[in-house]
Amino acid sequence: MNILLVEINPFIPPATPISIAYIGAFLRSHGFDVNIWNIGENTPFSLQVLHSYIRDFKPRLIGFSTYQRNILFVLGIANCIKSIDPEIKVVLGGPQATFMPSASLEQLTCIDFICRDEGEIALLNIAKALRNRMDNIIVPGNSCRCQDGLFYDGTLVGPYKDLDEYPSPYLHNDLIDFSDLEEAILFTSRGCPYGCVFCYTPNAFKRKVRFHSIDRVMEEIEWIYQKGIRKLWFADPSFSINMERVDRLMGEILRKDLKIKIWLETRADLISEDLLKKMKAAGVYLIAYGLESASESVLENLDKKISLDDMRKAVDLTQKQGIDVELFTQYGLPNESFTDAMKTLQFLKDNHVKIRGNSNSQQMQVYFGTEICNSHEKFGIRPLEKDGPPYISIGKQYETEHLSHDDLKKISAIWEKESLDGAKRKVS
Amino acid sequence: MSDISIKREYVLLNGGIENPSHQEFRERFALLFPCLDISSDIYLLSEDITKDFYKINESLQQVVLFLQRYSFYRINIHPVHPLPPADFMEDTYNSFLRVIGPFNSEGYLHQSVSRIMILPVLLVGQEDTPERLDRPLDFLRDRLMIPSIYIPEGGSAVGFKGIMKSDKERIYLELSKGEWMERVVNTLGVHSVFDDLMTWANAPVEGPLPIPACRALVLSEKDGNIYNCFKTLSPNRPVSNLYYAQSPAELLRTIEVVGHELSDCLVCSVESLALMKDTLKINDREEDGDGISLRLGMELVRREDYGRALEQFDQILGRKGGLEGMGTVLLSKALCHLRRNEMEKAMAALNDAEKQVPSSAMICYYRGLCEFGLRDYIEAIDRFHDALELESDELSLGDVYFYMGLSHINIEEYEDGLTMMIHAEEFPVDKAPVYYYKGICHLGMRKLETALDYLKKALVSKPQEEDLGSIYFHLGLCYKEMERYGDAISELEEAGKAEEGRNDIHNLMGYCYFKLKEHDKAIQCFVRAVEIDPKSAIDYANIGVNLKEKGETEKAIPMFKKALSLDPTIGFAIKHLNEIIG
Ligand code: B12
Ligand code: SF4
Repeated sequence: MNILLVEINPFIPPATPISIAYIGAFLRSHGFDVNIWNIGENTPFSLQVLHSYIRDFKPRLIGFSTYQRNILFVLGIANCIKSIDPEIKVVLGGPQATFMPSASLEQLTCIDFICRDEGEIALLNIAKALRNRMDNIIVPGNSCRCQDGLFYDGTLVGPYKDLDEYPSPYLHNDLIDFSDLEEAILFTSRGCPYGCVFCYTPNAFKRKVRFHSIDRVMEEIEWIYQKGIRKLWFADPSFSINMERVDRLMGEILRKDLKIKIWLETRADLISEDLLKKMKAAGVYLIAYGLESASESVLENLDKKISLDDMRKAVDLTQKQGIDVELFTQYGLPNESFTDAMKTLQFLKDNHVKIRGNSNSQQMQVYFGTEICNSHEKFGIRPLEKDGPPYISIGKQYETEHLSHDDLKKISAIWEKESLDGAKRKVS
Repeated sequence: MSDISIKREYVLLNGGIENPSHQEFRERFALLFPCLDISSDIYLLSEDITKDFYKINESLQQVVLFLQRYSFYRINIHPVHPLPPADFMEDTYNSFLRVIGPFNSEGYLHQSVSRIMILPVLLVGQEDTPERLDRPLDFLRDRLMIPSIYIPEGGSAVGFKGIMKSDKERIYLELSKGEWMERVVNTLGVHSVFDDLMTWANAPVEGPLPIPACRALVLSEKDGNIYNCFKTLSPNRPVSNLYYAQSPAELLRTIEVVGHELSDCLVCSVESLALMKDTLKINDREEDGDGISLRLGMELVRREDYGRALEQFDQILGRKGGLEGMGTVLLSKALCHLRRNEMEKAMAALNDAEKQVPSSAMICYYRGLCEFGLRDYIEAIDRFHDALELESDELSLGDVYFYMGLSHINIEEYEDGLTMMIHAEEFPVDKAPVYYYKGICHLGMRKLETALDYLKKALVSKPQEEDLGSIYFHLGLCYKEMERYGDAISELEEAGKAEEGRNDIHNLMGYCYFKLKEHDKAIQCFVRAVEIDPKSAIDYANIGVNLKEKGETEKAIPMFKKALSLDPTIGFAIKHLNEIIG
């Protein structure tokens, strides 16, 4: 049975489609034939290409990695696929899908399933059901459209505890086309134990962290290295949650004498001078920490559980090791005033963090699955648009108790003016 | 039907006002929409929008219908026309705005941008002063329709430079000759090549990326002709015809079949960039042009087209006026001269580069290559040493060790040569040359068995065809040194097959036959050797020796005399001649 997995975002150059590559590798290991479309800015793609591909590959199931940003495009392709062959089943997965209200899709007849669980397991369940010709059943891990046109939620099954049980998206696979990619994205872990209220990870991964073994990560790094890729991004939500483990990983990279450049994201309270030294030696050139806000009172409300002192120390220690620092920050946060927002900008300046790349601030986006989205009134978030499509969350169309739409625009303009690179962020 | 995705469509609305085929054109035009890329641009060219308004409006409506049906498409519509009277202009664009209104709401509700944008290109007439343009431009800006202006040949660009308010607003300077539509399409086409080159040059991927082909179509309403590259419009080489194709499938097939020659696209890129010079200046985009020149130059180097690569590098250097920050460009320039064997010029570029990037490993390496080219091997070795000491990620260590080894071999320092070749072998370099030179080193050190092993290893390591002659020759030489003349002759015969015109092969083979006392065959070899090089004194002498051995002393005498007339110092020729004539 053929399965097609799609990552589309026509606004950014194609990046490693790491989530669907994981899922693809897993399905292949269960005997399914999987292909990936990774469509970014400038990837040649037309209705004609779509038609001829569907005709040639004949997928039975198509899954989309869905984000707020790409859902319009996802639904467009899904619709078109259904018009070519209504028998093809369509699944929405990804950050926008996991917590999307089922009712929102009831009028969109092009969607058959919404993935609510770990993608690998949920999609395998669907694929197996289809292989066994069990259409119209409620598949665990997913919300499923049944004959009456309504969605019914399957039971949640939970993920594999040992991440290594998922086959690597890289090793022994040709799932990822590296020809137009500059950097490989790697995960050494999934999940995060913290509970920041604006973040979707805590609910998506139930505040549990699971790890790949160091051996597996090294195997992937060496494979990628052999492909000629020299830049890596460890995209783990909190890369150094287990510092001893990261220390070992860096040691291994050093031992193999791999000449790679690495950037990663972690929390400011999860590093030490010794670890930073080792990271530097292993090729880490940039660490991005989540600061969010430089106002103590705002931070407290975010449940970030990090102090500005920790932050300052981490920035200083990192810079002293010759590693670049970026700080993720946001404005339009609950309880934040204009003055608070300006404090954040000042914090970057005071700590010699250049305003470029991920250090360009952005307005908080209220996504499905976050605490703020679940109870936005409690957080003083006032949506501006009441009649938007139900599959779109509040995003940044809101004002707060303290910041009007104009204030938010003003803050955005101030940050943009201070930006050294025309406000180009890498990650959202 | 296979895969087409067209990024840009230029539609020539040239069918006249009462064009009966317009209805047909409309229908056929829409048939091509499925070939459009999901992010594409349609240019609608009209010589007079007051007459063609309804055509542009209808085309827009068709695009809108398509976008409504396929929500994964984004299309920019560029009406291209001379500036009409203000009232007409405002009414027209207000009506366009109404047509695309639902997409602005859709974009807002999806927290994204609109999937259709109207980006007009206004042709400036003789009487259109910058002041006269203020109102229409502001009118468009206020409605989020980013305007550009087009200044025809002969029009003065002075005064317009400051009127564009963002880098998305363009000034097009006319870059072509011919009929009105032809000129405009060519000019827009060159700009789009430039835009593609910008994306190409700024791609984050290191290493070579193919030069982008245009992925453009030109459609002519009047005759239905379809061109798959704007450059084929002037010579009128359509690839298909909207009206003649029997079915949509046939239409698509004919377009798809006629592909682009990528080498043509490279030439076109180079030409387009050169044409853009003044336009870049007026748009303050010269830096962008330099970025492209650099990457294009590198691509030309990769294709070993050093002459044209140099033009790109010189273009950047010429514009900059000074050398500051030009280290990479100067280094690339030096490399081109090196490859063209222009060692003095290469050295000059390297000296300039050094002022910008002192202590650069690459500069030392290139200097080494220059010295190597100038045959100053000792100097070359020193420069390669410097390069290694300075270390650099850019340096290909395998190559540095290889050339260092080669320099040692050239001054007969075989042991050092061998050490370097062993280092070179540790890196990803072509293995055949390394084995060959390891063989040469062992031969030089008279370790003949080992030399044989390496030369044979070179033979099975996919050597370049042009190296086969040398490998077989040296195998022959090894056997000769081992006094295995029969084996030597077999290898030399192979060498002769690979490189018949090499005199030393025939000379060595002649020597081996002589040793085997097969004098007739030896003579044949030496005769061939002097045919190849009539000034080869030694080969005349060798013919003489063989004739003498055969007892044909009379015939031998003129051979020795000929040899000595070319080179009076050949001892054995003097000796044999004296023996014959007493
Ligand atoms: C790495 C990353 C990227 C990478 C790679 C993306 C990828 N996954 O291939 C890049 C740089 C390309 C990227 C881009 C963007 N990202 Co991003 N990204 C992340 C990051 C840091 C990790 C995501 C990840 O891979 N996690 C590990 C995998 C295993 O988990 P996962 O992605 O959550 O996927 C699981 C399920 O969702 C599901 N699943 C995922 N895809 C699919 C598909 C199918 C068919 C099925 C059945 C299941 C399924 O299975 C997976 C395993 O359980 C997260 C933040 C975070 N900490 O999670 C943000 C995050 C996902 N990104 C986000 C955003 C907003 C973006 C951008 C819009 C940024 C921008 N302005 O352009 C783009 C959108 C890209 C697009 N295609 O439209 C948001 C998404 C919010 C939302 N609801 O839309 C997140 C959550 C960050 C945040 N702000 O909170 N991103
Ligand atoms: S923001 Fe970072 S620390 Fe907070 S919950 Fe998300 S991943 Fe964890």
